[in-house]
Amino acid sequence: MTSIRKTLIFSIVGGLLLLTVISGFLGFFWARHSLTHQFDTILAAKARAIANLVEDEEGEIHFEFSDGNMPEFLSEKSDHFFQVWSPDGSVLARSKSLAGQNLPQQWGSPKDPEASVTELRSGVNVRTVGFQFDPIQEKNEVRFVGPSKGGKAAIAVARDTTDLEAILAKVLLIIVSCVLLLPAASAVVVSIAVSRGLRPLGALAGRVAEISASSLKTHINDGEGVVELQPITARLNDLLARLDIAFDRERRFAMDASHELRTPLAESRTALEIALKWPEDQQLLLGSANHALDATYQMEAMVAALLSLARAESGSADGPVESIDLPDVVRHCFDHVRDLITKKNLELSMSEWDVINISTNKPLATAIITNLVSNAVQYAPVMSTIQCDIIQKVDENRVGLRVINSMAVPLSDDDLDKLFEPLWRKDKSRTGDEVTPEVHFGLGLALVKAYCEKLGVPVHVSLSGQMFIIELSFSGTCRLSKRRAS
Amino acid sequence: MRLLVVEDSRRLRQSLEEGLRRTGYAVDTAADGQQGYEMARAGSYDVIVLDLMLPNMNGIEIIRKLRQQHNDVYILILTARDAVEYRVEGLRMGADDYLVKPFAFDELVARIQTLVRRKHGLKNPLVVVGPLEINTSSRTAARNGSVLDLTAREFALLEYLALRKGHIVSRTEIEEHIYDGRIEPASNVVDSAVCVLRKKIDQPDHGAKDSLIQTKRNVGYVLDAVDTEA
Repeated sequence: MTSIRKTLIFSIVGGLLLLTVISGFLGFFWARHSLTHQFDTILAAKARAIANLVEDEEGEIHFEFSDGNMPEFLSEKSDHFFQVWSPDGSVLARSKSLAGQNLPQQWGSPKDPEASVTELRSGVNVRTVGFQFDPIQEKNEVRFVGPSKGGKAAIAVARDTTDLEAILAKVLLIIVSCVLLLPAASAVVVSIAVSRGLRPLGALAGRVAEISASSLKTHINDGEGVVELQPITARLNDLLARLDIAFDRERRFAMDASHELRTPLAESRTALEIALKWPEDQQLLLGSANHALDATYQMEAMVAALLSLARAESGSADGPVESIDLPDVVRHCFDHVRDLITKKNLELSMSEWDVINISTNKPLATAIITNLVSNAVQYAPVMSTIQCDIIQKVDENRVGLRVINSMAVPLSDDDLDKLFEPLWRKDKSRTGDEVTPEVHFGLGLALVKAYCEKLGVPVHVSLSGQMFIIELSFSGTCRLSKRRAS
Repeated sequence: MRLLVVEDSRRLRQSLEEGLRRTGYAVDTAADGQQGYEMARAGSYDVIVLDLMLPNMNGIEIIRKLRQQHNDVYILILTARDAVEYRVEGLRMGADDYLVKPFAFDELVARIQTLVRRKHGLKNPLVVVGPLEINTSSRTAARNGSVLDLTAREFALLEYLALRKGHIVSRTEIEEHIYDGRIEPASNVVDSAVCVLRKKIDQPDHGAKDSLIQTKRNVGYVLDAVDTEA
């Protein structure tokens, strides 16, 4: 797992180390170049000053070096050296410090002298600057520099580089120290800065950790005062709101489910307790056993419906796609509840449809229509009308199924959002009426929705006055043909 | 004691009716809220056992309406709703007790007995009338320590008289509180029942001299401790 803290520290310190090394190298070479250039410039200036002491008097070369001019060349132990050559190549003069040694003969011009590093015989490393030049001539007491008849003289001035190397070594030491210390120091600073920077993240993590299933209504302050965290807290708050709704739904579902089971449990328990209280009464025992059995059947039916819902809400539609005659399936579903339709004296309004074949998962489509029809018949008041339409949308390759019925317990617009919630029912009494004494669980439409989502069938519910309208839209290959009279 | 059970679950309603009747209560039942409310308003019940989620009119609405009419009948809510807010709402609306389904039948009976005692201002389940000891909790009666062999209805009659000991109880009151809608009491059913009960509690081997149940001509009956001992 990556760590923002480590990534930031390694990135910043690594980058800084790289930059420092490059800067150190560049700095060192710049310092070395500058110091050497300055060293050479001074040597060149001294060389030019000494060269000015070389005179050509009518072809005769003279060198007049005054002791007081440049005392650094006088001592035998001096670290300054010079050597002058006559145009004929003979040594005209050399400083005492050279003690008979020769400086290298590398010549440039007075403006651009040649520089080099040489080790003298004495073992001293020297940096030498040398150039050829025209000696100063004098004619009619006028001194001038011009082409000498005798040719160009040459001069080399050198200096022990020990001091220069010592300075460069110090510079190098400073740069290396900086290269080593700066990243180390920056690692500490960056670590502190990152820790401070990430502190709001830690605080946010703490706040999130405090949120439990019972405190999902908690609102995290926008960004905890940090701009960069605002998008995260906004998304977290959105997530919390969604979780709260989902948890609320689950809690309600659990409460409803337990409530649904409480009544049949109470029926069963009371019946059995009463039977056992008067065990000598066989008739009571038999009646109580029947009550307990009926209550068990009710619980079993409810558990089966809940399991169907759980299965429907998980995974995708299994099973092959096959062609079904939608009107035929709808008719069969109404036939299954024909007794109840008769009992409730309901009127069915259905057209004589042609064959409309759709390609779909047959068991799921049948389950959807069965639940839809059963729901309409169960909840329609006695002596009312159920209208069922099948709408062919050939151009869209879709078939719509619409069921319209009035409700014994009228619905409101607010109820439409809750219709598909498992175990939700408008009538809180949860027992059937005199005509349909069966207990309803409120799972029919939840199953319809779950199955429809599996098949990708859109469901739409609406109210038109007292009428409840539910519409499904099956997609897939539709084939229409005339129904033959059977 | 006469009870009204308002419960929309047919099976539970029938079981409760059977069990409570066998325990010695006169029981009327209603399957929906509207019917239950009408019966509660019209009848003279000692305790109403009331479900909350009922068709046509919910239990809370029934309680609210009854209390608005200054009907002080004792109401025990019997519901599957166990959340605190429902209990609080029910009790605040004027219910006297709350029992959540599923429940133990004996607990329900005990709670009904408590409400009955409370109605008659008693805390002790043992009612003593001279040599007679009536235990409203175990629903047994004894005279001088000898347990009386009483049927459920005979005990109910004795209990009703004992709870109002020293007071004249009219025949109408006995009819209203001891007999439910199943029985159409004939004109002499109360007299006959009192006669049978009197024989059982005043048996010579119990040392009876004069009856503990005295007849007040054209008014009713009084159960009271009189100088009956030999």
